[in-house]
Amino acid sequence: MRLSELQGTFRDFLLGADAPTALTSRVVDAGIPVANRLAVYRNNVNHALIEAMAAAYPVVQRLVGEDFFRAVARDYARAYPPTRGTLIGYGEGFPAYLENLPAAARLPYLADVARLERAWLAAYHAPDADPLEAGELAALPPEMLPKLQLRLHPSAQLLETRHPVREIWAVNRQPGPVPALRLGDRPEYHLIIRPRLEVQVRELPAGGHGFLQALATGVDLTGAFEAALAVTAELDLQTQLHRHLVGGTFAGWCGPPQQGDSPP
Amino acid sequence: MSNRSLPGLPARAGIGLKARHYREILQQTPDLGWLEVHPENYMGAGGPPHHYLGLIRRDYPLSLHGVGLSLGSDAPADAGHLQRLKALVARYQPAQVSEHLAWASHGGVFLNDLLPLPLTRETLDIACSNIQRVQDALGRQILLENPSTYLRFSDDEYPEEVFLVELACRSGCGLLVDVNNVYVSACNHGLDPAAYLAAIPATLVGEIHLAGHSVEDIDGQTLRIDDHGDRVADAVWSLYEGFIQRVGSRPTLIEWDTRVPALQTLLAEAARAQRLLDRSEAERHATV
Repeated sequence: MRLSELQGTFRDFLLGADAPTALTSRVVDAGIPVANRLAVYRNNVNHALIEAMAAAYPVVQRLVGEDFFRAVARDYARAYPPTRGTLIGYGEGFPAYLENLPAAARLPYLADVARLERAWLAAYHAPDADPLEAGELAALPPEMLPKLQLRLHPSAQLLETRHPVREIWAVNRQPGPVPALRLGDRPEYHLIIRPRLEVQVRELPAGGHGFLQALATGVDLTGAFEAALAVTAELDLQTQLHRHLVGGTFAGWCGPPQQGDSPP
Repeated sequence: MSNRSLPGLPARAGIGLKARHYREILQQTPDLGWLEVHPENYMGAGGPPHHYLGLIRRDYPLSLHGVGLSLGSDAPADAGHLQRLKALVARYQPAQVSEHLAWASHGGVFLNDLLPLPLTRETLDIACSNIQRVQDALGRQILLENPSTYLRFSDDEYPEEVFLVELACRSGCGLLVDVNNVYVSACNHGLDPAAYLAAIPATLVGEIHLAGHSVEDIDGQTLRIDDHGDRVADAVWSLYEGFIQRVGSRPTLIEWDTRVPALQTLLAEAARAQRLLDRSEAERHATV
């Protein structure tokens, strides 16, 4: 058996398949049964991938309990093992996996919590950038503002969840007893962002979410305001814009081409 | 010839840098020769890991110790992974870059473990060309570490130490000798760790690792597991002492990756390694 064939067989064994004779007959016994020697590697791989999932989804683990989480994470890792040589970003498909998992159906908000944790990690590892200072926009000629394109901070993650999960997530991130929560059944909109070192999870009004989504696609301020008002008429856009400027939501801007500007 | 003239890390004790110790190390700047990280933990684009590593790198020489290149795979290293490693080397200018004699990926699946290789001529050829490709891409020599193993293949054509020396000579890489791994593997296979270490030429040794391991009872049989979760075992300390007496002082790392203790515990282990380095250096000079 050539090396690549051996590694394919070994990989399948590590991910849950039975060890075929072609593998076991090639391993030296030397006082310890071959099955036990092979099992060390399978345990190591299982353990490492489960730990990576637990580190990425600590609140999901707390909500379902460690035993259940480890079993689900193991099944997930076997079905969707890592494809990159780093575990940063691993487990991306876990929220959708939970959504379709019959055993997790009694917690309808679980997949949404997982989405929030995933967005938190994405913001944590996202590229760094200095946030746009509010004063920089204030210094621009007011007539430029309608056509201004604001660039979202590279860490900004916009998330819409069917269930209100921000509070569930927040109280379960802290150790200690969890207070009783009164949760309605309504969608929630979130901005998960890391302007500098700390990841922040902010709730957005529905229109505020539409506003940032439009900006993220490169629409100018006028277009983004229109997009927000299409979602809801009850939105104080001035306040929204001000909060985002103070909160470091943007990393830069580009304006319409100025009259008389020569092309670069 | 003093070993301090070798390029790379200072021939002193260092520790693995863990995220939970970032702030303490920045505040206390403990007296350590260098620090080591897994590049895979810094392959995100930005955020706190890069922030802290960038600050700490100002105070200490750095070693990048990879676990994801899968040099023993029958396929060239993943181009994306190699590119990310190259970017880290350019950004942090490490004094040393190392990897393992192992495989971790196959067919696009990364298993995040250091998996055992049959020590055959086929494997030697494959590992040699993979190492050379990495060294060419990075524009520098790398060190290759002996892994802990829990099984051996019946068609092995070389003892591991002979395989490693041959591989180093052919590929031009250096060796990172993990004394704990030598001990763990030797115990698991009924071999002699001192004989293994005696077969390694001093000139190839660029770095040494020390770590703790666990002793597991599996169906009445003892297997030692390299879990990096404890103090260095006494038997490993004495092998280390004998090894540096022969090969000379080398940059020596205390690795502790699971159940990571308080920084003070790591520093105490590093201080113990430093005392042995100092003593060995003094004795070598006394006998010259």
